[in-house]
Amino acid sequence: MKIGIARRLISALVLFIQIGCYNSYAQTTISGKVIDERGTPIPNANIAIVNKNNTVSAFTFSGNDGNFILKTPLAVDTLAIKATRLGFEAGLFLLPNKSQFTQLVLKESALKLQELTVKAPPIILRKDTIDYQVSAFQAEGDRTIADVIKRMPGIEIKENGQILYQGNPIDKYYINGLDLLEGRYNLANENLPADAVRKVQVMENDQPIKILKSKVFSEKTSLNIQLKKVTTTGSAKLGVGLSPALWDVNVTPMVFNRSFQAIASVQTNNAGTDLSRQLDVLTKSSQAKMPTPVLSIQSLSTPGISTDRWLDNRSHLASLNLIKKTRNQTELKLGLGIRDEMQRQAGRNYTRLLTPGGIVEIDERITNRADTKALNANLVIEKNTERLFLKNNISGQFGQIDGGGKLSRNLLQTEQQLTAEQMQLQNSLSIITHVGKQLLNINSQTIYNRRPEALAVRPGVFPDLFNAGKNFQSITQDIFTAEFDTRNSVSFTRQFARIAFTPMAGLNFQNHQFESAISTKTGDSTRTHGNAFRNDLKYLHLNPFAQLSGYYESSKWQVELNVPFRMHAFGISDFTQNSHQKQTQLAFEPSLTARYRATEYTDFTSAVSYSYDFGNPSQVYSGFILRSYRNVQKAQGAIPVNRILLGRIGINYKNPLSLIFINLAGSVMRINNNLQYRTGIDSTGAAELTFVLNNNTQLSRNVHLGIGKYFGGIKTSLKLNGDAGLTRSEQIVTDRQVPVRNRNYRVGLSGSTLFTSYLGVELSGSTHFFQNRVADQRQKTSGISQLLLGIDIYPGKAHALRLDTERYATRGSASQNQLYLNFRYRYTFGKRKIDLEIRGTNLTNAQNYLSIVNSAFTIAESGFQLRPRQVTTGVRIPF
Amino acid sequence: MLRFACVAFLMLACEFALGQDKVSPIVSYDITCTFQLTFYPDSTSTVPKTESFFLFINQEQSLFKSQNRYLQDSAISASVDGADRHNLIAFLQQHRTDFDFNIVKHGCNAIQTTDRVYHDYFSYTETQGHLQWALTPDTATVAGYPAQRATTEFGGRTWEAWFTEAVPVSEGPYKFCGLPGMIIRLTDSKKQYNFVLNGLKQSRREMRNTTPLKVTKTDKRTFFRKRDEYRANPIGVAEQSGVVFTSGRSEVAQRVQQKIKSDNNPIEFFTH
Repeated sequence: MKIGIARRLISALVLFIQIGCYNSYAQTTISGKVIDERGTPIPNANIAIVNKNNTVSAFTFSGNDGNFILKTPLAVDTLAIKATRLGFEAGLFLLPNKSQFTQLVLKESALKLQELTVKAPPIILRKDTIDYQVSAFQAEGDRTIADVIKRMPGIEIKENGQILYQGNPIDKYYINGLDLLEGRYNLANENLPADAVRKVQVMENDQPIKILKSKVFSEKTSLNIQLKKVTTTGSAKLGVGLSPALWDVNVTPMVFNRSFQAIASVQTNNAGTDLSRQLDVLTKSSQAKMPTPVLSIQSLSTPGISTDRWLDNRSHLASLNLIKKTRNQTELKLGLGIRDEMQRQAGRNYTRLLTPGGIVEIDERITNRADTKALNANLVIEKNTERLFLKNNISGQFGQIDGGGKLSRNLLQTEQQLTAEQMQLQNSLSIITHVGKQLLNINSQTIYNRRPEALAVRPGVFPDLFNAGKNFQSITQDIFTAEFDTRNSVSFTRQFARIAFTPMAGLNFQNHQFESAISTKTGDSTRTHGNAFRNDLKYLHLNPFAQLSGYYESSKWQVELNVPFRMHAFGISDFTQNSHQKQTQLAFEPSLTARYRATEYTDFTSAVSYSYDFGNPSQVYSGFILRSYRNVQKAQGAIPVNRILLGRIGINYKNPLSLIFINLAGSVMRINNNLQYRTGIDSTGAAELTFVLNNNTQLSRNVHLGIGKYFGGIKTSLKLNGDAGLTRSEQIVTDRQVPVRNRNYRVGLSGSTLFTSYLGVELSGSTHFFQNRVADQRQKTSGISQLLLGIDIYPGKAHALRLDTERYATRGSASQNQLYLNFRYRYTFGKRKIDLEIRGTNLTNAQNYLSIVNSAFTIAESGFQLRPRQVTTGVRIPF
Repeated sequence: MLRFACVAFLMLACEFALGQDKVSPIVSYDITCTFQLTFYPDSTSTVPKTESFFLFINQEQSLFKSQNRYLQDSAISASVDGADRHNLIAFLQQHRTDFDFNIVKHGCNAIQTTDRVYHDYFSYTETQGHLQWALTPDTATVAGYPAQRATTEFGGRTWEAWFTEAVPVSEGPYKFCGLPGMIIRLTDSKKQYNFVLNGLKQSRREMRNTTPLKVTKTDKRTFFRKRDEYRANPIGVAEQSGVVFTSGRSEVAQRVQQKIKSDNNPIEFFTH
């Protein structure tokens, strides 16, 4: 050892002298031949002199005969020569440092290289399409694709399941490019196993109609679920629990083939899972929604927290959705859904009304029960090619609500009974094709609604109005509504260089019939009230229009201008008053939309529009209607004319490299109304709402900011959302016109992280404030803050533990802090990843959820009875 | 109409590729590498573009081409004549590439490049010893491999390469090779072109040699001259080759000119 050091020292000394004196003398030339074990020369082998730290100081390659010459000025005793060649084991040869000829023998071997696997980046941006790799965002505990989507930056999922991208709802939800569910996407999103999905694609400015691609501007955003393979998938879940006896069953098989997809689902539970959301249309659909009934039972405001904390239900649901794409690009879609549900709610409403006569306090204890049956069916035929777009959608919805409410108000018992039957039939047809050099676009939609409703209240209310101040036994309000709407238009699109012009003509027509009657029962006699309490209205609205649209597109700009002229002719026959009024109104409703793409990552959008709204025909009635037990309403009989000026501007930034998404949007809306609400509140708190002719203005401003950032290295995603809103309106409170200002602020921050494979943490907090000012009187600020913390622990491969704590702080006329605790243990086994679960909800056994709303003239506190502490066990099987 | 004309003009570039030789020999490769290139085609812009490249390697040779060019070639050779031409063209449009070349290296002294000018294909070889590497003692870990730095001048740029002996092939992206190990990272001194290895897989892959039907053999100087001619007068070159503009010629010219103007920073300049 010592000798070694001594030798090294000496050689260093020699080197020093050599460099100093005989520099040119120092070059060593090694010539040689690389051969294999059989003596065959190896061409193209790499011969390198390596230093102690494994760096190469000189190198060469062997020629076709295996020969090489390598020169080195290194002044060391021993040269380390490394010879390598693909297909041979690397050879290290130690030679004395002098010019010589040598043979390097390499051993043949199948060399195993250190491989490098391409890790797809979590987000890829291609023009207007963004790909999110599911594997990059999926946590151990995630089961459905919705669990994963909610972690993706730029995307949010609202409480009702609606998906927002950069703050705006998506317009289409495709699975493998097919729109199976026509907007009822909760069914797929909340049941499709995340493991079956490769990536989630967001397509901005997506024009789903192929014939319109790059001809007609689209602000729509579509989401596509790209599966790993065409497959049969889905999941089954079965849960039972205590107490009372609980069940939760969900069997949802799915088939995804190249040209055929199906999702069927059977679900039933009494565990607080809200099934109606599975059938909700969450996209901006051209299909009309079922109108809500006019009459209602006094209910509690439902808590803004997950339904399984509070929903007291017994729900059953079945759904079947099919899509078949034929060879000639025609899609046939069938959707069927049926829901039968019982919901109960119990709690307390405390309302303080500010009236000119003083403060009225209403204290209601409420027990409601509602039985709902709903059926919806739709059949779609769609052909979507570059030459023709044809879509016909025929659908029917039926609903029946039987509700009963027991209410005790200031110790006075009141019973309410509501029945409503709803039926809606609609058909919409859209055809787009080429006629010569133009695009012909035909749209036609027809809707029919029929809705009888009845509300009975016992004992009678509003005695001053209905029974000369004397108490009476009961009051019944009957309403019948029949509505026929049709909307039709024809347009041509023609392209001139970068500008496309679309002239359009159309005709809309509405024929609504509205009948109502009030009867009261005093002793044995039943009285049907006279014309002041009856309505028999026929409402006709004819709306022919002509419109010219222009659309300009360049690589940076997309601008669309619409200039429509509309004529509105109304004919209203009030048979109770024997009055017929006719009114004609011209409306000019221009709109301008522009998008400027500043860079690949940044774009600006803005829009300005001016439009008219003529309200709802049922706002034109002149006889009193008892809408709920303490609300009676009467309209002026005049047609509401609302002029709406809307402006909005937004900036979107998305950077897929630094994984940051930002959107900022602001909007201003001014509405000029010709009618004004007038609220009269009597000493019992009963509200009498009437409309009077009086021009007034409502102004609102909103700002929204959303920031999403994903930190790939630590698998952490952060999302920040903020909204601020300001509304200023004028209202008449007992003959006095006063300005009312509402301010709304909301800030939410959420983060989820998976720093190790053993631990995941989700934290989200939000706070919401509401401020109100009537005339110059400022009301107390009310607000609610919530903090949710979820911790996932994965102690072993098969075990998963989750703890959720939720804290709600309500602030207003009163304050309350609430804390909820839930846990879940999951054991996963087998190749198919079958989960066994034990779940405990509401471990603190919190009784009530308190919500407080301070509005212009009311302070409402609502205490909603929650589901008690419960334990359920279940099994979940993905197919 | 104008839009159509422009698309048609650009599409022609894809169209000719359909007439590809289909009975070329099959080559099997043992190693497949992927490189990610980040580059600035417009030196006046701060917006980078990215593209993926394949480097296929066997004992005798290597093939380097862009991933999209590879996908285009595969789609073309997989498509039956005439059938579903519409889908094919849509596919080609979806997988556009800024790099049409095929670079085949038979060792570092025999590098053949096949590249396109408008719709003609040319092939040329590099002069021997086109790369003079200077090794540095700097080491680092790149993409998980121990790597050493070397520099060279090539095509009007100074390049810095990181190579690893762990992959004992004298290969690299573009026309770069000749180091005692594979180049896993390659950057020019202006940081306008940056190749990084992001995948390496050792498995057999058989591939048809997809060189186009009609390739003109030429030298590098001629190729670069042809390319400059085309860039100076793209419409003229197109018309010479038989394209007739029925309308909107000036608009198309303007657009193509603009496109070419924004593509002013090629990976390689002709230097001698």
